[in-house]
Amino acid sequence: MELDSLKDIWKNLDEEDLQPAKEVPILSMLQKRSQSTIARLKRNLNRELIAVVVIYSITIWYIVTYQQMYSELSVLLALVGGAFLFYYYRKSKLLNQMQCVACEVRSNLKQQLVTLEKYVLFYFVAGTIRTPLAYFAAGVIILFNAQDFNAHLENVPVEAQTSVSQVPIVAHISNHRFFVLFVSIGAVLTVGSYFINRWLINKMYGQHIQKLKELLYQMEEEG
Amino acid sequence: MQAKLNQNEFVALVHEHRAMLYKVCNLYCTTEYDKQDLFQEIVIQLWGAYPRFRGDSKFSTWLYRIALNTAISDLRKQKKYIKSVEPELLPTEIQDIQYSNEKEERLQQLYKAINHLTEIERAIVMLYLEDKSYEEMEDILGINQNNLRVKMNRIKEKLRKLTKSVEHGVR
Repeated sequence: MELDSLKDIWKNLDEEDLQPAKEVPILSMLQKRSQSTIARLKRNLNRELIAVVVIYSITIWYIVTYQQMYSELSVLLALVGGAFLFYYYRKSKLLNQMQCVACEVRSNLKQQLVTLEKYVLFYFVAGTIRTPLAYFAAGVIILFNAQDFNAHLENVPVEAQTSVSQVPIVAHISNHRFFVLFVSIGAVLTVGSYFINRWLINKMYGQHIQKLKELLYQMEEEG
Repeated sequence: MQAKLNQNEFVALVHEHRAMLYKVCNLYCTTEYDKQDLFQEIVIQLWGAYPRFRGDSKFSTWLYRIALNTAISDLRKQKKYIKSVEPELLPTEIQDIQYSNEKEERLQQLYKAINHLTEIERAIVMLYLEDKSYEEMEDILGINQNNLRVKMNRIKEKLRKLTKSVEHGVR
């Protein structure tokens, strides 16, 4: 088959040879939402933002109003919430930069690949540090608020007690077994978080990144 | 009022160029559902980019870029889009179709052969069949003209071999 001999057929294809069986009016298509990967990622991110804002507001309000002794936890939640806002801003910015649909195909592919790799790296780092960070921060706050923090000092003469030794966390951390257990769980969580995030991200974006690399290779391949 | 005017103008433009969009859909999709889905996605992307179209390039160049970018780079339904298959793996009912006329038969042959090409090769073939100059092809795809010429020769050779193997292996 000679490609050139098909040019005439191709150029003179009738509408009926091409158009789908059921034609949808173009005007009605304009009312629909894009189903592209990037559009769906943006929508998911916005839903995530709304969910986080609602859940955080309710949790902080509950902790401050009804659980006053855990007010430090509300501070922690507010800090994590602030970190999430930065996370949202960064992801949103990367998603907006991810495609240039009216650019040359090659530069659009390149832009998608570079931005997606940045997006994935950010997602990976944020996802990996989030769990151990929350664990250690929550652990420290719970230790500070432990009820029986002076129990071990009951038999110690007052003059032998120092202000530092009365701080609950010191009392718990000085308990060697507890300290080792606390740090060990934290270490397992950190390592687990690293591998789970790596697997998850590879599953979600690995194939897409690979495909973009292949397409770019096909384009850049010399002759 | 202005928005409505733009919308009508846009719909008229897309309507005028819809044959080209259908061709892209036929090249990158197999099922009717996928073709309609891709057509709709291209229209949505065109509509989103339309306010930024300032006429720096030809309207057809802009249209091709968006259509091909949507078909090639958006991998949301990769499984449904055409994948290259070996001729012997083609279902027998497709292999044995009796075509009503020569035009259709040759066209089906072309589509069948194009199924064996990569996404980028399909885009090059399409622009070639549309009689685009290498300069325009470079403007749309971003591949330099020398490289395009070499690729085009390779594709022609590949299609020749594919057609031979289909003729010998299938018929």
